[in-house]
Order: sequence, then structure tokens, then C-alpha cells
Amino acid sequence: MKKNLLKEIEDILEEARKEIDNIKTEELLEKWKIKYLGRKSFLNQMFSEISHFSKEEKIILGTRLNEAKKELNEIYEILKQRIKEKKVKYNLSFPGKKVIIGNLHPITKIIDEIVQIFYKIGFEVVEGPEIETDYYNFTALNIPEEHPARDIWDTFYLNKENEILLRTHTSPVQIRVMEKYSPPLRIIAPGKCFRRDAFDSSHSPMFHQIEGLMVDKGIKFTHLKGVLSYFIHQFFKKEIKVVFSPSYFPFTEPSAELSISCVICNGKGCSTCGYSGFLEILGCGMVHPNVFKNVGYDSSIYTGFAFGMGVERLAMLKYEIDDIRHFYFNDMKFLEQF
Amino acid sequence: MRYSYKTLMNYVIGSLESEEMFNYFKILGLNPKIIKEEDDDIIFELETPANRPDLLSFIGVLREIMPFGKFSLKELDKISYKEEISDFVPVEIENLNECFYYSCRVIRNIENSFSKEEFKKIIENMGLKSSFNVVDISNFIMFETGQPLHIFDLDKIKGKIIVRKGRKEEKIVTIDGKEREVEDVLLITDEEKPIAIAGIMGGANTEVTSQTKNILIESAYFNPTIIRKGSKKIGLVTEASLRFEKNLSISMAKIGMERATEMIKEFCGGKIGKISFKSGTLNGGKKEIYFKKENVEKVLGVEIENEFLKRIFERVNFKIKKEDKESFLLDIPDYRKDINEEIDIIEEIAKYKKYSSISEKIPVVSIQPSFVFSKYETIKKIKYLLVNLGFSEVITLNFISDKIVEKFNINAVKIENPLSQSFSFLRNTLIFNIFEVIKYNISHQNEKFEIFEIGKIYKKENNEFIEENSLLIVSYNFCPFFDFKGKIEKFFEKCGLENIDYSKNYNFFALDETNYEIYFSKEKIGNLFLASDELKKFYDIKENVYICEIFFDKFIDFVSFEKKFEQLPKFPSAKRDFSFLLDRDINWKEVENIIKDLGFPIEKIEVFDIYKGEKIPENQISVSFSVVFRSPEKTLQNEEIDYFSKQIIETIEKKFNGKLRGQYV
Repeated sequence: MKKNLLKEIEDILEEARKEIDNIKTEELLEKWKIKYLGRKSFLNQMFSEISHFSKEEKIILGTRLNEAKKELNEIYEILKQRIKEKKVKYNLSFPGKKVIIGNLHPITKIIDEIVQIFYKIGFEVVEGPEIETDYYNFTALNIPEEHPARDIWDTFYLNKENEILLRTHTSPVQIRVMEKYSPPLRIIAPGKCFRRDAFDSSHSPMFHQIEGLMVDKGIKFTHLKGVLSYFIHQFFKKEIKVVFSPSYFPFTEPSAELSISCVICNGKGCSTCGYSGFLEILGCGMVHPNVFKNVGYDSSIYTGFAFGMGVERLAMLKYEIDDIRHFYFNDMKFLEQF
Repeated sequence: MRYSYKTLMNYVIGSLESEEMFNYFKILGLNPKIIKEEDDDIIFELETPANRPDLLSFIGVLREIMPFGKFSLKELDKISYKEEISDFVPVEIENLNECFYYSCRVIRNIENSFSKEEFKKIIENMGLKSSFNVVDISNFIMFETGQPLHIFDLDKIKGKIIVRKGRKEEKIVTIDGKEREVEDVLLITDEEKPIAIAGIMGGANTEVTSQTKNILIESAYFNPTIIRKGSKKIGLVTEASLRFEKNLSISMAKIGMERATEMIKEFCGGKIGKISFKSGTLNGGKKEIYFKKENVEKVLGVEIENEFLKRIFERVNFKIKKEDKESFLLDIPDYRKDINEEIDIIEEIAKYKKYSSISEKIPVVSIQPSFVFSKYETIKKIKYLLVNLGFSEVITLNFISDKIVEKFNINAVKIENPLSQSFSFLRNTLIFNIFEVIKYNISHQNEKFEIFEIGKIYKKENNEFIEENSLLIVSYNFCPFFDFKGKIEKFFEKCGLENIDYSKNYNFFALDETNYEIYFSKEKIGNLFLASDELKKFYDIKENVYICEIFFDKFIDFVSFEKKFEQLPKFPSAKRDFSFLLDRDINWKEVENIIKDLGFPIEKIEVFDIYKGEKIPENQISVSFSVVFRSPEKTLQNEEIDYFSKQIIETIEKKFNGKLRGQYV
């Protein structure tokens, strides 16, 4: 009797276990629960029946029944949890919500990239005013009144006497710094400049320049070449040919123009480089003795080099931007690209 | 200027392949640009420096590349003609500082016909229209030698030539048919009338025509500054004025005259008269420069052999007057007005040494302690803070239009010579430029955004121009106002400005009564407001624009990124929520300050709801806020917090006439 009953309990358990695999829904699970754990289930009926058995048999059967019930209850809880988890649809293929973040203007970014490169070799940033006098913008830079070279800088004037103007280049900062500090000097000066140019795809009446100046004992043209080559290779981060050729600026002598092999076509010739394979990047030269004289530096002791570059041009080349006006329209779709 | 390879070859003795020639031009940075290629010719342009008018000639550019090549040049000053008649026109120069040299020559009985095909082609290749022989010759000599000439019809000149400034109300009709006022402009006149504007353009009254038999050739050296001023004054730039204003020379004027005479005799015949001239005491082109060899190394960083130097000096026609081991005394030709001091010689040496052959070196210097104080890094941090708060940086042109100035009655700095009406004033606020950006973006389907700009604004005070930095932070259609203000507050906090005060005040650009001035440590540092309807209407903007304007130069002096660690709380906090009916125009900052002044251990006060509507009386608002209490010394007991809360309620009721709507634990 006892043995048979124990066997029956094992059979029921076996049967209940076998059915687990087919239970995929809550409904089926509940049916399973009623069948094996419900009031009318075999196990529960057994509980009421064992009262007729001897004390010893009651203990053995009761323990086994309790164990069986416990196991089935555990199975039930696990299955319930499993089915619940399966109900949630984890589909991660949908896009995330669009996030709007702030962006620095590309001109600011390019200026800072350039500044960081010059920081590495000990240059410091200085700034100067946008409203300048004729003296700082021209005369002190060895460009006297009525000098034909003044045509290069078509100037906005703020008074009738043409004495006060919007600086046409960042070079006046050179003068202001040298007037204030003695050599040695290593500075770069980023800032806005203004020229009477039309506002079209390649011109703007306002643009940004970065001026550089290094003055010390023993500074030579070889150093100008070394420092600017270093800068170009750092900035463009690719194989680039750097060429220096003679140029003319009244405030430097010898003066040079730095060209690089075209970054768009790698020197093969394209519309960006006018099919020459080369791009003019910046003007530079050894500081003219007259400029030193104007700021009270002794040119028999000190020499130096200076350079100036257009930030928009560098940004346009680096980002392959075809129209300078993008910088000033400030279309969000433009700004968020950088 | 245009050059023709074929024409250049007429002056070359020896060989100069076109390929070779272009390579030299490139090395010298003259950036040759080919205009057209023909079977036997190449027409090209060069970029010549502003201090080298001598390069605006065939002879000049050939001289410039001669040190590289193996060719030499035909001499131009060999003359084959003879003076045949003694006719001349006397010359008078009123001020020798204005005209350094003036020469003229009479030629009688010329045959002035149209130029022959071959010569015509040369003229046309230069980009000019061919005309009579004499005119073409005068242009050709300018291209050949660099010296502009003028040829008058001798029979239309009365008496002598006088070079003088134009008198009051004096006028002349130039050969382009335009009447020009020439007061104070240098003129060539005869005894009766002006006959040419010196160095710029001839007069119609003495112009050479097909009828012309007798001519007067002018070749002069004018003060370059006088020519440049005159050219600007009358607004006329010509091939001649472009050369004269760059400073020519007596020697060029002399060669020009010789060549003109020679060619006219050859092409047009005629009887050659005497040259008459006047010239100042100006040294006829003698210029000596002392040059020390060690200075080449000092500037260029390369050693140069004596032999190289001597070869270059010879090829560029710098005559060595004296020399020793260390130095040279050089005699510089008159046409090289750009060579005036030792550094000019050093540049010549660098040019012919070739820049590409000078090595690259990184300077070795001693480390110097920093001396420069720049705000660059601080501004960068400020920009990054704004970017982190979600604002995008914009950069706009610093100009505003006359339309804006008129419409908003702005007192802005005017540009004397503006490019166009849209860029005719300097801005005195960033607002207009930012609104331009908003308008542009709306029209390009960008419907919501938050932006900022840091830029200069300008004003004129007591006859002095002042430029200041301004910062404008703007939110368009992006979030509720208090989200925006929350960002602004976080911005101030991160910049180290705590305890910002707001005070209501009028602002021209603000929507009625929305403007709050921003104060930090009793200094006004900006404005916080909603843009006025007038502004929005002008730019066709419909939604509200939230603006925070910061007087950047004042603000940046307060900015500090120095931080000190504050102990993290050791004891728990307790929070109480309150809801009050308050006056609609209440300045919340005052309420906050008074609660804080009670001296309770308050950690923070936060408004979480502002409500106006049903069940709220007119002129009142319901403000719900929470107060967080925390003591650094102990855990606060409920009885204490109840007491604090009671005091807060009483204070608000008493000081602000507030009515408690609810209190929640």
C-alpha cells in the first residue's frame, strides 16, 4: 500500500515535469497548476486520504507529499517568471531619440587647433583691438602713406581723416606686443580682420587671421621654414609638400609665401588649386629692420620672423567647404557638422 | 601685366626655353599664369610685387631671371638716329618735388598710319586695341622698358610746357572723353591750358590723330605719391599711373625717350628735334650700399660662397665698388628703387640662392617664463560651458545695415566708405545679427535651437571709438523659459558667479516689462528678457525669443574657475513643500533671500510650480516650492523642522502678503 502510493507520487511528479516543456503561456501554466496543485489534484487528495494511515505511514507519505508540492510550487514560480519575461518585446533596432547638443563654431575650432600646435613649441596667445589707427595698421609696419602696397589692403575707415580704421590684418598686434615687451618673444594673435571685399562665395568683408611672431637673438630664415613646416604637417596630418617662394610684404624681408601640395587632389590639379597642384596658404618673412626700428628693438642684436594666415581658408581646405558665407549664415545644419 | 614669350625672345642673346623660363618665374614667386598658347607664342601673366614697377616690362622680367639662366640681354640704349633739326619746346617745372624729371622732344613731318599686322599683333597680345603707329609705339615702349610715355600733337600746344598743380575749378577733358576736375592734381600744361594729367592720362585737346604731322614725345619721372594721390582723387587708374605710383626712375625715362625716338624714326620717319628737359638736383641714380657678408648668415642661416655672391651681383647689375674679405660696397642701378639697404641685398641673395635650397631648422631657445596675460583660455572655457549646456556658437559679421539703424534709431558707428548699405555701420549690440541668424534658420527649416555669440560691439563716446565684447545667449522655440533660465543660472554658477541678483528694469529690446537686469556683486552685468514684438516683427519671427545679454568684459573679470571641495553631507536632509498665493509681479529672489535670512539650516529652496488660472485671483500667482533643511552637525528633529516651517509661513504672510494654499511634508 505504502509503496504503491509512493510510486504514484513519483509518477505524478514525473508527469508534471514532462509537461513543463510545453508550457509557453500563462494560461497553460495556470491549467498545469490546477491539475497538479489544485484542490482536486492528486497531491491534495492524497493529503486528505493519509489520515486513514498509520502514524508511521503518515510521516513518510506526508513528508514526501510536502516535498513534491514544494517542488511543483517552485517550478510554477520559475515558469511564471520566465513567461513574464518573454512577454516584454526587447527590440533595440529602433533609433534613439534625437539629442541636440551645442557645438563650437568651426572657425573657433580651427583657431584653437592652430593655437594648440603653437603652444607645443612655446608660443603664447595675445590679442589686439579691431579698431586700429593708421599708424599700427600701416605706418609702423613699414607701409607709409600712399605706399602702393596699401592697395593690397582695401580698408574700411571710421573717420574722414582716414586715421581710424578697422584693422585689415592681425599684424598690428605685432607692433603692440613689441612696444610693450622686450625680446625674446613667441606669440600668436588670432582675430577678426576687415577688408572692403564683396560678400560672395570666396570673399567676405570680415574674416579671421592668425598672426605669429618670434623674435630672439639668432633667429634665421631657416627657423622660419622649420617652424612653419612643422605647423603645416601638424595641422593637415598627412603627407604634404611644403614650398616657400619669394613674395613681398613691406613689414618682412626676405618675404615668402608658403604653398602646399593641394590637399584636395594631392597635387594632381583640381578646381580648388586652379589646376596648379599647389595652394597658397600663408605669407611670412623675416621681420623688416624698419619695423624693429619703429618699436625700438635693436636689429643688430635681434632678428625674428612673422607670419599671417587666413583661418577661413584653412578651415575651408580642411573641411572641404566650398562657400565662405557658410561660416556667417550659421545654418544649424552646418554648425552641427563640426 | 601680360607678356609674350615670342616678344621676350627678341631681347635674348643665347637660349631660354619657355619651360625653363616658367620654372625661373615660379622659383621667384612670380606665379606665371598662361593666358593662351599659340603655335609660336605663349601669352602669360605674372604677379609682380608692388615695389617692383621695373618688372612691368619685357626687359625687367628678363633681367630678373638672368641670374639663373645662361643668356644675356640686348642693349636697348644703343642709338642709331641723329638729331636733325634744332626745334624744341622749353620745359618749366613749378615744383621739382612733384616732378623729378621731365623731358620732351619734337619730331616733325611724321607719317602717322595704322600699325602693320605684325606690330599690331604684339599690341593686341598685350590686351590693347591697336591704333595709329605713334600711339602703339608709345604703348609698346611702356611694355618694353616699363616707362610710360605720352605723345602730343605738337601743333596744338601753345608755347612752352609747364608742369604744375591744377588751379581752383580747373578742368580738362581727357582722351577717354570725360571732363575731369583737376584742382590740386599734377598737370602738364602749355601757356594757355592743361594738356594732360601728369602720369595718368593725356588731354583730348592735344591728342594725336590721323592728321597729326608734328609730335612732342614726353618722358618723365613723377613723384610717385603725387601720382597716386591724383589718381585716387580723380578716380582714374591707368597702366601709366600704376607704374608711376610705384616709383620709376630717371634712367628709365631716358631709355624710354631714346627707344621712342628710335622706333618713331623707323616706323614713321620724320625729322628729329632736340631733347629739352628739366630735372631736380636729384642724384642721377647713384646709390651705394655697404654689405657685410656675415649678415647673410645672420638672417638666412646659410653660408654663402664669395663666388656665388660675385656672380649674382654681376648678373643683377650691382657693381662692386670696393670689396674685402668680409664686405662689399655695391653700386645699385637706378631702376632698382626697391634696393635701399643691406636687407634688400640679402633678400636678392636668398631669391637667387632659391628658397627651396635653404634648409629647415627648429630654433633652439631658452625657456622664458610666461609674461603675456591673455583671456583666450578663459573665453574658451566659457564657450565650452555654453556648448555643454546645449548652446551652439555662431559668428556673424560685425556690421549692421542702414535700414536697421534707421528703423530702431540706433546710435551706431558709421563706416566712412562702406561697401554696401547692408554693411554700412558697426553693430552696437549683437541682437540684430543674432536675429538675422534666427530668421535665416527658420527659413531653412531649422525650427528650434539655442545659440550664443561672443563678439565685439562698438560705440563712439567723446570722439573716441570704443570696442567691447558682448555675449548673447539665445533660445528660440526650444524649451519653456524657466528651462532656459535654469541653464543661464547653471552657467553663472559654473563660471564662479554665485548669488546673482535680478532687478526689473526697462529695456528697449524687451517685450513689455519682461526685462530683468542681472547683477553680480552690485555690478550690472547683463539683461534677461523676451524679445520685443517690434524686433520679432522686423525679422518675421513668430515664437518667443529668450535672450540673455551679458556685458562680457565686465562679466569676465568676475569669472573664476577656481574650485574648493565642500564636505559631503554627513546628516540626512528633510524637505517641506509649500504653496502660496503671491502678488503676480513679485521678485522671487527677494522671497528667497528673506527665507534664507531667517538663519535656519536651509540647504536649498526650489520652485517647482508656478500656476495662474482658475481659482487664482487676478494679479496673483500660485507658487509652489520646496525647502530642503539640513544641518551639518546633527539630524534635524521633526519638531525643529515644524518650527522652521511655521516661521517661514509667517514671514511670507507678513512680508509679502502671501496666502498659504497648502503645506506638505
